Amino acid sequence: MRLRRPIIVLYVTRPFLMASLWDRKIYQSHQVYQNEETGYTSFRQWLAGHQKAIVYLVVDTVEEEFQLTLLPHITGAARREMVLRKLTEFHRNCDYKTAYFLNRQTTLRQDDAYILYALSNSGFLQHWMDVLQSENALLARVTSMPMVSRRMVKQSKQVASHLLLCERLSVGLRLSYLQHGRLRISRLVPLPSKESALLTDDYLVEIEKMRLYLLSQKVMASETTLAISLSAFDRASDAIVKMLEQRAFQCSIHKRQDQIRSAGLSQSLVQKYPELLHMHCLASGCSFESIAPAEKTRRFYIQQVTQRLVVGMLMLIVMSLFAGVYLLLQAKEMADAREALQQQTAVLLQNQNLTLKPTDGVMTSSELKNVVMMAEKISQSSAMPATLMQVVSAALEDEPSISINRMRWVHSEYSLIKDEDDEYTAKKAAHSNMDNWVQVGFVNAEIKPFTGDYRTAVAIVNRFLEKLAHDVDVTDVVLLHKPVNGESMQVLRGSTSEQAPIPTEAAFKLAITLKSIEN
Amino acid sequence: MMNMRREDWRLLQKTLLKLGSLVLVMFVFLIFAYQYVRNQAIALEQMKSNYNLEQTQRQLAQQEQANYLRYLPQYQHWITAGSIGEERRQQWLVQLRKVREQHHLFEINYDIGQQHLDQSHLIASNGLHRLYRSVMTLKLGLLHAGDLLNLLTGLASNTSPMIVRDCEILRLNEKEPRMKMLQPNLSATCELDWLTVKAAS
Repeated sequence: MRLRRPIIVLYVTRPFLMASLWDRKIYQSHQVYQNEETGYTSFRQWLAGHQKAIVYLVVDTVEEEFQLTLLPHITGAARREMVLRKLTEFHRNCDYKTAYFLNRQTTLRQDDAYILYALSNSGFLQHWMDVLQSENALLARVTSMPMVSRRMVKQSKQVASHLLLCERLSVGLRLSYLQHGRLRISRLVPLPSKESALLTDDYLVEIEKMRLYLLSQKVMASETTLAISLSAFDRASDAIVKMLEQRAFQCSIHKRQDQIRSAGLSQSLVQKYPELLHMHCLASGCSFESIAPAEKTRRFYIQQVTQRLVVGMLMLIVMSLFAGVYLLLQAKEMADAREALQQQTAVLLQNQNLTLKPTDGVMTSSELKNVVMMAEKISQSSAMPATLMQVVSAALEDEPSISINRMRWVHSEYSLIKDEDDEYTAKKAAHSNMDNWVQVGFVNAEIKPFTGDYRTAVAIVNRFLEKLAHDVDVTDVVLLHKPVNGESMQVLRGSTSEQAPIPTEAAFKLAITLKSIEN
Repeated sequence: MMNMRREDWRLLQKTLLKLGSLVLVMFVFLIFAYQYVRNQAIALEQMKSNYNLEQTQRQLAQQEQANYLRYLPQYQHWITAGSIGEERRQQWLVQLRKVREQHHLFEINYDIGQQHLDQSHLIASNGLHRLYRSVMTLKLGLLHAGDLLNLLTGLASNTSPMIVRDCEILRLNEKEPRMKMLQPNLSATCELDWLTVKAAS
């Protein structure tokens, strides 16, 4: 399916139809068919060879009406509906009609001014339309010559407030009055002669008529300067301009050389058929109001819908293809990654099989570690009473009067230790924890010889205690039993009588805490 | 905007059918591609989890091996030393006699109690192995305190590791020591824990 189609622009007047073929805005060829049966047949045959082309149709006729109407300023669907009703009301029997916005009134109501345009007699058009319909031509738009002229004025950027556009066409002279760039009225005047001298007179007469008509309709004031624009393609133009300037008209010539060149036209061809420039404007894709009923352009509309559908679907398909390819690429990446992982896993498995397990089936390594730790702890927890013996022995060196009767060494995890009738709480080291064991020694000793001198005995015991307390291996020393108990809360009995027996012993008992063993 | 009529739809029918078929094909293609990607993603995830599992197992095996290499010699050492396994009471008795003879000690009375599971949790046991304990009492006469140290040190260096818990030394004679006859001056009573590690029965 070709997205870019050739364009056929039909220029229809009462005496003939001119069909021009355009491809990419460039003129290809043209045919002229007379408004008679042979013309229709020839046109049908020519059209049959260009079924794919998009057809634009320009009507150029004398029988046309420009009706000014005012409508309240509204927008949207209501505005469209109101314009349509007004158009139907004024031109009930006209098939080819349209309405376009002119300006907004400066009155209090600020109404919108519209021009209602219609072909009052379109009978000559019907034969050509029948041919188009029968050949299923893709008729895109039907427009009128003044509307194309207005677009050309806009393209040539002529900015005069009151402009009278004079165009010599194949069928006559078209005079279009534009107010602030908007088409107000237009008329086609058939020219009986194409002789230069006669043409000049015709121009002057028709321009004057037009000016008087505009004044009579109060479209413009009498003092208003009317700018006249001529499309000049022949020698007569210069003479016409000269004549007009003599009559105090502001006049300008537009030779449109650039347009002729870009359209691929020749000067001679444009001189013969000036409307080819208007047709080029249509072939270039400029948009115009269509004056034909929707039925006439339905096939083109369907074709447009089809084309848009195809384009839309193609875009969707391309996007889907991209998405699909992207997904497949992702899948490939994943497959590659999976394969790489598979190889790595295989290598892992192979290496794992080579791993040695010395005691495989006996016990786990954690169990092995646990057992070893327990055995080590047993070993670390062992202790000997040697330290206590060394400590006591060192303290006894300076106190020969002390005799040891009993010595008990306890190695325990508990702080509270009972010995005979005594209870002793060993002091654990500050940093110790529940696992720290304590070594406690209980020493039962006496002073020998003892002569009843308790004061000396107590002094000896105190020195002994002090010596023990200063030993680096000792944490705490407590005197559990003193040689004599002089405390107020205890009972103290005896006699100072000479007959009373002399005390023979001064026994005492100590508890010594040795420093903990760190496990 | 023109209203579409039935005949317009008929004109569009062929195009719509062709485009619809193409869209359907593309839709199927997309679904296939999506499913394929999804399957690949699932397979990749599965492979990743397999790989991670294998890697974890490998790390565990390496750790296991490292532990074996580290602790097996110690384990064997403690088996030889007697801390792990059954008590070797006969060997201990032989060793006791040897120590006594070596240090010329007085007679030694021993009493080894029945072995039982240690409930005191002195040494934590987390695995399948447990700590078993036999309470041992030694009674002997001493010429001097050093005899006791000789005995305990001799036993500790040549038999299973034991924990000496309690030792009491008493002076036997209140009077002057009788040096003429070879008699003990002191009596000692010691309580020891014979601890062994073995698998829970």
